[in-house]
Amino acid sequence: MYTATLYLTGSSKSLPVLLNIDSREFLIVKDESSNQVITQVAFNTLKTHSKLGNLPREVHLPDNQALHIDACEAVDNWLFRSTSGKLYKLESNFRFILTSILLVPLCLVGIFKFVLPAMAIHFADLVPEYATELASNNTMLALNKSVLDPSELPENKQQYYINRWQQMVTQLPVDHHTFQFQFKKSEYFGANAFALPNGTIVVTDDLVELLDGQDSLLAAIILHEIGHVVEKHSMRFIAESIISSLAIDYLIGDLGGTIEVFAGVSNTIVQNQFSQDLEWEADNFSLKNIHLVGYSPKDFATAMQKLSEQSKDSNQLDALLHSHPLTKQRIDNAMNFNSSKKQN
Amino acid sequence: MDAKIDFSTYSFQELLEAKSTIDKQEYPERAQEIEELIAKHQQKQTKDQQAEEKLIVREGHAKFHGDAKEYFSIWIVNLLLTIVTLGIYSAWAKVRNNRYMYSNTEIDGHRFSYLADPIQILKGRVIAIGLFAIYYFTASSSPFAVAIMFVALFFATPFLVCQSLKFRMKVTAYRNVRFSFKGQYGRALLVFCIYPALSVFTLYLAFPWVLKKMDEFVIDNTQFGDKSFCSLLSGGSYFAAGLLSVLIAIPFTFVPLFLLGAFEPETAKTAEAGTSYLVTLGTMFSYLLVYTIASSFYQASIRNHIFGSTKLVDVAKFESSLDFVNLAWINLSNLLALILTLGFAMPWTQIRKMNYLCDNTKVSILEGADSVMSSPDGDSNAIGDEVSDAFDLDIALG
Repeated sequence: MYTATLYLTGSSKSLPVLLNIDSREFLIVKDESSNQVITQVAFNTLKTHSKLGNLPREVHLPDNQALHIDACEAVDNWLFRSTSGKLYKLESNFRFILTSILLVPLCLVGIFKFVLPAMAIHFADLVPEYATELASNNTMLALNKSVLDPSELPENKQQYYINRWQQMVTQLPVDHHTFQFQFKKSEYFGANAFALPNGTIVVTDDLVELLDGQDSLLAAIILHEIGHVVEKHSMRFIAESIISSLAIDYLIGDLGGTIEVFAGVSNTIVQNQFSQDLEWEADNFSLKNIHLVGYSPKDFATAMQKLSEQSKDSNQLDALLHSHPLTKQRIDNAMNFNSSKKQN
Repeated sequence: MDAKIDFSTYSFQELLEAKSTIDKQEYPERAQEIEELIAKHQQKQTKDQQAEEKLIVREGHAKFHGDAKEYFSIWIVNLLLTIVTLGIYSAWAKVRNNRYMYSNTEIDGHRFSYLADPIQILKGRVIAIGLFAIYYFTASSSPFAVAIMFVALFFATPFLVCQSLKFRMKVTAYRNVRFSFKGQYGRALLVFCIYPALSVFTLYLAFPWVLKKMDEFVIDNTQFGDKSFCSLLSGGSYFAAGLLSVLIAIPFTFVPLFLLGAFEPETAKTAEAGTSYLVTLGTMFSYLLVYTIASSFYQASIRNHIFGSTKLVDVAKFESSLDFVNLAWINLSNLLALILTLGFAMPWTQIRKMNYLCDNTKVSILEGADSVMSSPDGDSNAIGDEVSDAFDLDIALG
């Protein structure tokens, strides 16, 4: 005899019962106090919830009655004889649990570090050109209305640089028709440059003033931006962000409160990681191609140095969210790139 | 001006309001009348209370039987299965994890049941991911589309909230009787969108009142079988909780910022990226600290208030005795444990929190507890719930 609670049809009424499972085909439910048979149910009409931990076993009887049976081996053997209960076995198998503890972080790193970025590359290739064009135009429009003002650089200086860069692009192994250069004044961005996915590259007045007369340094930065465009970084980043934020939400975001905060922070860190990887790629694009336009990786390092001396925390966006790798590492990377080239 | 006001039609709340606003010098009779009516109401309330206490059959605390080790095993195995199936299994994992938490929660000798169908959840998730991807992609391609999306989301929110609650209630059962949610779109639009938007004009000073309206909407539209939950929330408690949370946040915000400020000049000089990273980490951590402490205070006081003023008519009365310091400690140490173990402590933190919540939840069972009739199942699916999750619409009390 095994103890259980019987819930009656259609109401919250319940009574403690004893179960007789001597017969393999019938479950006999008896009143606990009087020992009278209440009901007798055929095994194959029972709907049993899958076995989980040490929870009372939940069984639904055909007429909407329910039984909560205190878990014990004999009852389990009787109830779960025809189901494999593989899940329960895995969940209580010490070696499988240990394996999971090892594999979960490994798989997560593998997915976030390799699978997702690889998928994002395919996604970026699928985005049609008109979508990129539309996205770029709208972004530019919005930026113009918010944080960008018309450039105050003299017309001839603008024309000088645009000509130089246009000519520079023709020396690169890329489709040079895609690229367009614009100057803008912006307090928000400070000395900076950014690229839109359609090949529009925007350079701020501050950046030109900072590096004026040093064509090699400006070229190094422009090459970095061209790298972003050529490798379709915008679309890749969008794809990576969508998938990772959903994945994190579903993996750990189920139960509000503190956990939500933890999920939010994890998401920021993961996205910054993606962004940093893309920055590295753009850096390396610049370093790899810089000799084609007659300069050296050293110029890239110098440009980074100059930027870091000037901007630092004036750019709030950078200080709060490290979407870019540390400048020192980027300079080191450029210097090492230089030396390894020489050795070859 | 001289027209006779019939105060006898006023509710207790309205009488209290009238009492605080009436000019006693000018209208002594009216003030007198209000005082008498208030006294009458109070008498009636104590009588009702006495009558109710007679109806209490049993009293006891909620019990939580979950075990951190057991739950960890279930959680990690299901997590691995979710990862290797690239998320498809996540719906089954959700059901198993939820079942573990629900079925280990016991009130008055009976456990809760979680009855969601994984296939439904999976369908919901597929749709949610599609919508989220469209939203995110459009939002990042065109800042103007963001505006349109924003309006769409504004009007979809109340719908999603109702659908989500409908689903969550429907898959929750206790004593073989399901919960249900009867909230309607119109009212939800008012409570979840219009009121919060309007509270901007009060510089968010009226926001605690909005939160009260939201909680009221959720509670009063929830049913257990054929019995309704019924709340008598007081705006005062929400204002007090909101105000004190903000007051608590202030010193915790400024002290770390001040300390961080000491680093600032140095960063500017050396431009050493490492230091600024430290500042970033420090800012993030102090934000988490402030948020956790202030929200713990709010959570503790509002939960206590909600439980104390909510009844399940004829079936149960509730009492919550959360302590701000204990709750803040649990939340903070849970957060720390999550960070230090890179998330592996998740099951342990959940079990620990549930233990604390159940230990501090008292339920008085009333006479009608055995005669709740199950009401017919309403239509409901998991789509709304999953979409709300994907868009981070936080649907929780308090």
